[in-house]
Amino acid sequence: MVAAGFEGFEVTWRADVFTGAPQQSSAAQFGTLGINFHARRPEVRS
Amino acid sequence: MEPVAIPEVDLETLRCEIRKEYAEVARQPGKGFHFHTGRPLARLLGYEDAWLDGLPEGSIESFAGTGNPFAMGALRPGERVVDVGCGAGLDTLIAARMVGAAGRVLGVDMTEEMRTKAQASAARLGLHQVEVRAGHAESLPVEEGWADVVISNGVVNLCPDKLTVFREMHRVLRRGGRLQIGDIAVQKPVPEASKRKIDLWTG
Repeated sequence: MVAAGFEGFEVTWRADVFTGAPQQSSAAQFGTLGINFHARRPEVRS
Repeated sequence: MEPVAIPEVDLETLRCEIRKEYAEVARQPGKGFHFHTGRPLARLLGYEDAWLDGLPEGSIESFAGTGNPFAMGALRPGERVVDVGCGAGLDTLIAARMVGAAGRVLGVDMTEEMRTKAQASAARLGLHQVEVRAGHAESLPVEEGWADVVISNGVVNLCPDKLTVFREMHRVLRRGGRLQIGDIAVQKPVPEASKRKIDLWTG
């Protein structure tokens, strides 16, 4: 995110969103979680 | 800073497989996938019932997000929003109601079947502030600095070159603009050999 020019990166939520899906997923194999994150483009040139 | 490694996967093959998968989500949302879909998924992700009230079922049933871009703050009336990988348009429609008639919401998706559903839902609701365009996250059909907010939900993980995707999101945001994303993260390292397996990207 920093390399792309963003600031204020923060993950605000994470949870298992794959367990119980109708088809078997590879998600559990890698401990995959759903996440929310935010960041912003700086006010000054980045 | 270490450069971000891009997985060695054929981009066009990957996009083709992803389009096939999500065209199925558009055409047969009740088929059963390796991810949850629809209204139950929206509830799991913390979508408020009021956000879904009155939205066309076609957009709700094909929802396949992995997070909740609106959990980090509502959008403001009059704002301009880009929804990257808008799918059948659930987040696009929610955003359109938040920004109101004075705002604009531009949904971008590479899967025609999804775009068709998103456009039909927006038209049915008379949301003239919505426009849906064909495009990829790595090269958004949006002018530089246009957006106040970029949202996306379950899309970045499907793009091998994430740095290019985030640079593109940065390009279309105005200075001070916000990125509000739902996506996925892995807690265990994914072997390089696994990253080259197309079926792991789609399932």
